[in-house]
Amino acid sequence: MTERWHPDERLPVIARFEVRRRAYLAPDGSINRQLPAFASDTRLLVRLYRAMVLVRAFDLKAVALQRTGRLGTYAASLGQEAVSVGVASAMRNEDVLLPSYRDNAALIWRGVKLEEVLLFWGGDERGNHFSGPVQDFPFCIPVGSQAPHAAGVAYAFKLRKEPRIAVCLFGDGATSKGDVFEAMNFAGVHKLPVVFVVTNNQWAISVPLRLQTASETLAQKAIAAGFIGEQVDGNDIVAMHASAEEAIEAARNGRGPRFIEAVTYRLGAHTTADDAAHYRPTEEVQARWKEEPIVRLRSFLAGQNAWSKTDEEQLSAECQQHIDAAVDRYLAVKPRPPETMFDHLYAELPRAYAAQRRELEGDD
Amino acid sequence: MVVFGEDVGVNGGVFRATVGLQQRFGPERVFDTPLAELLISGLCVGMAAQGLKPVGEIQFMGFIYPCIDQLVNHASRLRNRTQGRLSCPMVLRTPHGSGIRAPEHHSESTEAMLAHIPGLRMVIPSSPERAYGLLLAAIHDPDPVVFLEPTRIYRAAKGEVEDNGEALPLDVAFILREGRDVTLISWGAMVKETLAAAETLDAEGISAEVIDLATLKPYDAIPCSARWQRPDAVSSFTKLHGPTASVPRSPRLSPSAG
Repeated sequence: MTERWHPDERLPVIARFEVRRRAYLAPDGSINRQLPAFASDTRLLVRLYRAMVLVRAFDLKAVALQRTGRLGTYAASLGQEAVSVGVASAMRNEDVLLPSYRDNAALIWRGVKLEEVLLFWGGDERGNHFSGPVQDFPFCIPVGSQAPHAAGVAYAFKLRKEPRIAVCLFGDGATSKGDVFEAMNFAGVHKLPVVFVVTNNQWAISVPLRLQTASETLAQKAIAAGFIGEQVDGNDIVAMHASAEEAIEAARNGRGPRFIEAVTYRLGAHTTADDAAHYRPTEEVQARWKEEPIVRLRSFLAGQNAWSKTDEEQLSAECQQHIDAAVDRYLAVKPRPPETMFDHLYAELPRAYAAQRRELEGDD
Repeated sequence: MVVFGEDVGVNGGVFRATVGLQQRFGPERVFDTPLAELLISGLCVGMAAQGLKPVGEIQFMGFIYPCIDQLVNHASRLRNRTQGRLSCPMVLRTPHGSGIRAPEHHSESTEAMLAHIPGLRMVIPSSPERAYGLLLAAIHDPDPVVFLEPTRIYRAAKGEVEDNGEALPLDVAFILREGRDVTLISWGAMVKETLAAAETLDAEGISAEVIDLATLKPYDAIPCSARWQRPDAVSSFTKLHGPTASVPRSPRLSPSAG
């Protein structure tokens, strides 16, 4: 709790702020409070469940590919699947997603193929020439640098009076970057149609949240930018989807930007190049496993008699089939000849580079 | 097209470059941003990817460095890293160089740093005609362009320019003066001085050719290298511009370069 500057109570309070926390499903799948209307749509919930399960299985396979030398360094989303799926499922096709590098689930929900994700992490730019909405931004590695892009995209929507919104995803580490505040600040000034979602998984590689910020919540950073933020249990997909739906609707209807802090936990390492045991105790990770999003939703669905053991086995088999087929397609892709590095350097390759390109062609 | 930056809207820019634009096109298309250069360059990327034509201004080149992340990591490679699915047709304008008795950090000429960013274009006019024609070309260009505006000649170089909507070509140098004995290559505010130097040489019986590089990146290697077959050419250049100047070089700079 922040201390007060002045004990003098006669000084007028000129601003007060509050941050609320949204949660519906407890870790064991039981209900905390009345569920939003869409939660009675079992088919939707099952779709969300299947999406999370697919991504988790896909991540496992991707890690295995990396360990066997068939993929580059890879960042899995273990533990935070509900954030990406919850947000992406609330978006329309014509909206634009600006992801970080740990939002596979959002890309896949919006139509990016598994083999395209593998191509990207395999070091092939064709992975960013992906399926799904053609205006979605690609994976973003420089942390938080996608936030100003989101503001620019949203500005275009507002200028052209289009009922579209930009959704920008980033992690807790990103909220320490100037990029993110500059973008949020501008979005606030112009009431832009953009929703900023921070996946607060408690870790920026090995740096824990307490070293990242002294702010009591990340959601309150929106207040400094002049708009509303809410904190959400990021492992509760019902809460994530509800929050995203409401934020997106507000932004789409001209009520300005919104900020969602999705509190979750990075159950895996930062990437396949990281050994998290160096900096965090296994007991902590084990404890957090009890709050994870997939089991939580499964428990809820089972409690509603909407999901059985057979369903689970069937889904598991389908995912494996789907993933294996994608891996085969990925492994079958031939690397491109080196001169193709000039193909999209500019719209039209300037004369100054033509000789270099010819030189590479000649070497083939 | 949208124009934005610090003080470019109501005030018309600290060098008056955008005077009248907001009045004419409105505050949605011509606006003042918060004080945030990284934001300005990042906005350009997002807007350009959405098909707007953003023309951002960085108030002085000394303040462009927060934009390096957006220029190197995004603007210059968005087309390549999405294999053409997205592109980044943006212009980032900034006052360049010294000569107006500005405070420190207001007289930067660090184009050599930006010249090594693949996928970027960098253009610098040396006269009113080339300012008009090259800026138009930069705006029409489908790729990101950093447009440097030499502060010293905002006012000092005067000339009539017909508002005919005709752009000059990018990626080519301009031969401003023919000569046989030595080639002098220059850009920006120094072109005026180089032309004056050529006149002085002329009086001494030396015929000097003057080339305005104009597009610093990618620069026009062919006409220049043809002339660099003369050993005198490069040494004259460094004498004029001093050891701190550097010309972005193509991989081979020899008579056989083509």
